[in-house]
Amino acid sequence: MPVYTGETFDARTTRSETLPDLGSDEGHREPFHFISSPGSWECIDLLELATLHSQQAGIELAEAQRDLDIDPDVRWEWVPRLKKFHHTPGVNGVSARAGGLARALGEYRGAGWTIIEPDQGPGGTSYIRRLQTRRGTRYVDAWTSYVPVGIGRMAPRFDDVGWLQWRRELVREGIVQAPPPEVLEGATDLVSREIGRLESRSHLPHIQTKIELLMQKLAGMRAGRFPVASSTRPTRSKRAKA
Amino acid sequence: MTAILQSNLETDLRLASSLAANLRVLLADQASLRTSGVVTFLGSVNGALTDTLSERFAGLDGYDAFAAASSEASDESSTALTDASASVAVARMVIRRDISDLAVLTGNGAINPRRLAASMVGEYEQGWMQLLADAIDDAATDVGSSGVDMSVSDFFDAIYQLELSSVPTPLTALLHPRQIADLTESLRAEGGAIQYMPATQAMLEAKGQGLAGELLGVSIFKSSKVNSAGGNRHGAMMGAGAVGYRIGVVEEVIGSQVIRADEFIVEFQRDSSASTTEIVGSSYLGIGIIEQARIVGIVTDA
Repeated sequence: MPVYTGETFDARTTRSETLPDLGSDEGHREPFHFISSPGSWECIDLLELATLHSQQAGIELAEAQRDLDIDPDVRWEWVPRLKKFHHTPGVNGVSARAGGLARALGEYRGAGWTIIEPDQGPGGTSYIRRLQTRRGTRYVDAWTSYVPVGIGRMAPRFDDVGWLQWRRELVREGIVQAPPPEVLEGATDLVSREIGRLESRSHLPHIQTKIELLMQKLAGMRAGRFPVASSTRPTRSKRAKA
Repeated sequence: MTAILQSNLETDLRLASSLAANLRVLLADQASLRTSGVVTFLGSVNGALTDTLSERFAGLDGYDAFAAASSEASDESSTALTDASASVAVARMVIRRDISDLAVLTGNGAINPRRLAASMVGEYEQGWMQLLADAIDDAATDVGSSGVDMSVSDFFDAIYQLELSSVPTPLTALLHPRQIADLTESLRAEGGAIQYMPATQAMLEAKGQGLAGELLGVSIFKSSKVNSAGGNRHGAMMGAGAVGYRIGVVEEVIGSQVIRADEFIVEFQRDSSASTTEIVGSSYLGIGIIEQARIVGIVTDA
């Protein structure tokens, strides 16, 4: 004879006042897919990424670079920008009918977007996190957490290293394909224009410093490097096969 | 002599603390672009036999141009007609409040079914703005850098991108308050003839609440509904026709008292056995990017 026992219930967890209040503009009522447009890429500074990681982990820069699988000779790398496609009925073609979300995502896929499934998140886990808050359930990405900052206020804390590393991994594993060179030219052109705009004020020391940084970035962008799979470090798909 | 003091009168004749008669409204973002003309109204799905309609686009009226003939008597090839479409699906948007008779009769009139119904005007606008923010964060091209504060350069970049696509002016930017704060900070360090024009009373009257000002001829609207992803805020700059919205108008409501507002209805439903009045606001609404070439995302640090 089966014996039915209920799960452990803690009444405190159901009291709304014990739940965090993220405020009106943090988190989202609906879950989401990350999507990538072939026309939206950005060039990131790997040195800055490794420096941040070494500071956070309290390790040497070289160790941080090894940890993140960064070639010390490569400073700039192209990664995709990602957008959240919220599962909100009524938005961008999502119908409330059964299959409405799949149809809308299909339209985006047909237009050339890459749809990244939630289970392709960091370490093979979902990239969506669900939070119970005073205003109801909220969905955030895996790299966003919240910390209390004063009475009744919460501030987001973001894992920049994890986020950038995951976007690199998406390219390494071929989930997001590298774009045609024309896309990179468009983004590079914007940096060239910014340098041109700043040059009229290059006599100011802080502007000169900014121009030098942009020149470095421009050279890095023109080098056109993308994250590549390490020969020594297995990617997630290789790990799964093993 | 015994003086009559407040402290002596408590608690039979005075209260240590009571509630003020006036009711203030909690701070909330009340901005809306619905009536600003920035988002194209696409009509309703009433009688359309579906909840999802695809906007149809055809390359006409100059999309293709006359071209020189190969020769005086050449048999020229046909020019294909370019087409595109974008779906906008309407979905039910709703808010419900229940209030008991006792809650109403013990009050001083500040919160009652009528006041709750009137409040739904603002609640509809904010629901509308959330859908708009959800829509614009799927722009296919972007400017700005992850983790870097918004600057005047990002603003210029967005204008360049739209100019490259020949998007007609006027342009409008919808940004998060954080992005506007960073943009303003960046403006302080700008040289040359760049002037930020804060919204004046006349501008607010013309374009509605939420207009923060104008920069380089672009109207800037501020909304806390602008979404975040990857530690960045996903605002956008767009021309007219980039984003559209469609509604469904509720018809044939029988059996309850109905107030028909602009794009939504409010129903009062009486639950006599529970001595409670339900106030339900309903609408059918869909918002979407209908032409990606007319919009560029502005992705900057949150």
